Amino acid sequence: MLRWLDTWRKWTTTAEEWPAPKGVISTTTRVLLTLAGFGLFILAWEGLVRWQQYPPYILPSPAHVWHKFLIALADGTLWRHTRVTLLEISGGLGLGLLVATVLGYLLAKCPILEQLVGPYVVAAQAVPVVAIAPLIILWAGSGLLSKVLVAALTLFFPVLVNTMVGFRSVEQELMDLMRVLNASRWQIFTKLEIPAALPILFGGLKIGTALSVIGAVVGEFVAADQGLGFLINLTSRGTLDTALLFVTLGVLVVIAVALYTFVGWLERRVITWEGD
Amino acid sequence: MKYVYTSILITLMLALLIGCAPAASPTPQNTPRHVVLALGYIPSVQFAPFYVAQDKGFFADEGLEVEFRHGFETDFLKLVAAGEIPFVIASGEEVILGRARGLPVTYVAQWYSQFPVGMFALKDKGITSPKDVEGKTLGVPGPFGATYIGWKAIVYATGIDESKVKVESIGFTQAAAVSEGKVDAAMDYIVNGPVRLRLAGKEVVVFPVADYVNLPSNGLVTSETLLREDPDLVTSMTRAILRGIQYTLDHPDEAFQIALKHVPEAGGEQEKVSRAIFDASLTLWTPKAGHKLGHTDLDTWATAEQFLREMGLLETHVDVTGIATNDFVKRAGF
Repeated sequence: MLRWLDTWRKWTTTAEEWPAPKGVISTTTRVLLTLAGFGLFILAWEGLVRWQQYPPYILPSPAHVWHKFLIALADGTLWRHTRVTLLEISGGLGLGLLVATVLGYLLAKCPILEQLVGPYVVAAQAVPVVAIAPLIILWAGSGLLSKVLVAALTLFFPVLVNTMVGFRSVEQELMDLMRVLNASRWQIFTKLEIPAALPILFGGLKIGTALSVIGAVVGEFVAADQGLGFLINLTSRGTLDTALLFVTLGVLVVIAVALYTFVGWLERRVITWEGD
Repeated sequence: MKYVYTSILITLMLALLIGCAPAASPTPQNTPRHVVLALGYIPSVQFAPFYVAQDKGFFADEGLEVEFRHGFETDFLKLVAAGEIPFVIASGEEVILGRARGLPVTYVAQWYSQFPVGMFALKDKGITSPKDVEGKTLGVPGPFGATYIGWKAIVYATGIDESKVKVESIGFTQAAAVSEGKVDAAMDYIVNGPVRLRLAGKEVVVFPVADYVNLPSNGLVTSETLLREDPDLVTSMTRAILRGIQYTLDHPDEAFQIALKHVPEAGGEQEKVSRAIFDASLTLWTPKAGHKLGHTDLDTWATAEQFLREMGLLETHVDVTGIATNDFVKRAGF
């Protein structure tokens, strides 16, 4: 009993009493661990398929999916649809970030505007994109524009809120100091507000990249004849090709992770003053 | 020593608790058997015969307690093939496509007497035959599913030059897209888009796929395993459904009211539209001249397989032997 109490006490000691970590994990180790984790995942997947004897149309094996990936890559199917979705993601990200950032700054600076526009912004967010997507298709057509709009709409609200929080987080003392030093409005904006808000803005950008992928796919679900979302629809509702469905999902995951990683890299390059 | 007494006491308490627990009562022999029947996208008056079968006790007469589930038929087709659910109402060509993917499913009773899809357009577009759609735009929900296959079937049968038709994926907005002029024509179930536009006062022309090519229509589908292991269940389900269809055809007004009970959203302001859709559906449930209720034309399956392959919708030849059967419809007394 006393031994158990002693162990409990050790687990509940404060952080300062814990022994310091022995060292940072090297990049090589990190990569090896990631690969090992992925390998375990593949083994578990293969094991599940064999143990439960799932047919390929329910859960294809990793080998089956890999084979389908090679075929889709070789015949151009994968690139043809990925290119379209990437275009929609880029457009949606660009449009959504631009509008959300500009509007977010204005709402952060003008309480009256926030009172006027805020409720409608919240209402727009409350409507599921999947419900409004058919209307967007009807108004904007079934081409690229409607998917860009759906992607932009999906990321709009989180980025808007992030922007507002970011620009409101600028310390008032620093604003006062800039004014005392006769800084112009533009100087305050470029030399204080943007640098101060950047860490939070990058957080919004990370969220935005993931959401733009979702938005583009949702738009393609509703009406498209190209794109990864269309491919998901086709394989699950048309050709019953579950292996190709898995390939498509895998590509979407890679796109989302790659975008997120890129933003993280950009953040480290741009925000050089944190951690000093 | 006190640990020994404590252990004995705990054991006695557990034995008391287990002993006092109510014993699992044996299942009475007259308890209905719970069965899942997967239907299409969402609840609709288009499923009236099933609601009739439930309300009039046709399922209960067979000892069945049927649970309806709604969603995409292709998802349910996979679940039927995997033995997760026993029955789905699916389109004939989906069964062929499923067999191409190794799904061990069989079509056992016909639900619609004809392929339910057609091309439609506003009369003032000047489309007097399917071939007139050349040089124009055609809307489809997407390049998959019964509507897309219906389009391909019309191309196959009428020799339309596809390169002269701009096919657009417009989602499930066919009626609105045609009405607003976003597309010149569209493919839809003939009981949906065309009916809605007519009710809105528009003059509509419709070209049912069934007028040009005979494809297997929607029907009751089950797994080969169930056919082997429990043919009586398949017969019972078939009998109850066909009784539901027959009753609906004989008593349409009562059937419509039963459907409204199951789909209250179809009533009220929507009742007029719902009744029009229901009346159009009666045509689909009525057997064609010279055909019996529930019987599928077995020759159409080979024709459909050939058409799917020649239009590039099937990669390889699919053996349609045993893909459909009328045995259970006959056993059900129809």
